[in-house]
Amino acid sequence: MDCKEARDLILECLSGTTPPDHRRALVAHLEDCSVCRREVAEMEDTVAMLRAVPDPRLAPGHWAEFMSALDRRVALETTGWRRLSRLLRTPRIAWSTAAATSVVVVALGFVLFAQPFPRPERASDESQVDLSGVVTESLVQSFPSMSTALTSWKAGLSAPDVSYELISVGGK
Amino acid sequence: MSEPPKWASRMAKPLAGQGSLLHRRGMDAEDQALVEAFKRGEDSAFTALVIKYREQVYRIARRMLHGHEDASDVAQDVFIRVHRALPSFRGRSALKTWLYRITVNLCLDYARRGSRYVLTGLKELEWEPALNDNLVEAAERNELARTVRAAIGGLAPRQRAMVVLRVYQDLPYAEVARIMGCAEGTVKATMFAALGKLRKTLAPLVTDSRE
Repeated sequence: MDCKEARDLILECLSGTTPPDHRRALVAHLEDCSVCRREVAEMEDTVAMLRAVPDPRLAPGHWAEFMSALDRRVALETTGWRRLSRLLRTPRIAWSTAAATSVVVVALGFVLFAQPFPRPERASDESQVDLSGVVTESLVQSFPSMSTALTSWKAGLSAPDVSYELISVGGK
Repeated sequence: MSEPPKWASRMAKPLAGQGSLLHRRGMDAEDQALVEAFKRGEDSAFTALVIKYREQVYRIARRMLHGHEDASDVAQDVFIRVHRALPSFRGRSALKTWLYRITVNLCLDYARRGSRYVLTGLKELEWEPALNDNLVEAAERNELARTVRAAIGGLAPRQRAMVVLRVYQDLPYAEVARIMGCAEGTVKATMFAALGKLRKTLAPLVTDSRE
């Protein structure tokens, strides 16, 4: 046995639970090794000193108070919310909840931000406003102030500088 | 024929179904019955489990943290965690090993965070001297206890945990290794270093006791 093996056995022997043959082997090594003998003596003294300190005594009624406090905390653990949160943490429920939440979020996003109907395009040429089929010559003659009104109207259509031009209806 | 070792009498007979699995993994028969009863919804099983292990859990916490209030808090936290996790406990380790592992981990976390209790300066007596006790001896014993506690408190947290489990709980090195989540060789090397450090710190006391 070398000193390293002896050191391991010394640690085991300090508790007094080493099998007899291991103790015999260690004693045989210690007979020839003064270094390990000194090591054992010092370790035994240290462990004896550590074990000389007993467990502290507890005040009377400590455990009754301990159990009451623990019962209160356990009761809180088993309230509805904690039961629910524990249920939600099970893998199957957690994944189902995550999938359902994702579907709801995507649907809401679609409803709020998607644009299914295109906006009407503005006229590219703002110099001409095509009023064919809407305003005819006879209409203008019937209503002399219509020219002025149409000019104002077109200004309201963001074409203030557009001069009114009578466009024949249907190319006629 | 030599007597069978003491542990042999604690070996339960194999049970059918899941009980056998728990048994094969080294679980005490009583612990096995308590866990199964708790899983069936019997709250009294949890109370029985607490009563069985509360002293050991408290002692480990007390040796690691030194203060009674901190140790009591940690002991409560241990059993709350056990209550939460016991329904999914599969018996991969013995119940005691699992309990002690939770205790040690919580103590290590607590030590890192620091105690929330302010030291008031009042000293806790290790022994209450009896009427016939020599008061000088009682005072010397208390001083020894304080010196030893301070020496253990000066160890690194993992070293302290291993010393507490080995020296005060008398657990074999294999068990300490399982609790600490490391190899047995690591435990022995750490213990050797810890005892060497304690030896240097306590050397004056050892010399005094020999005189």
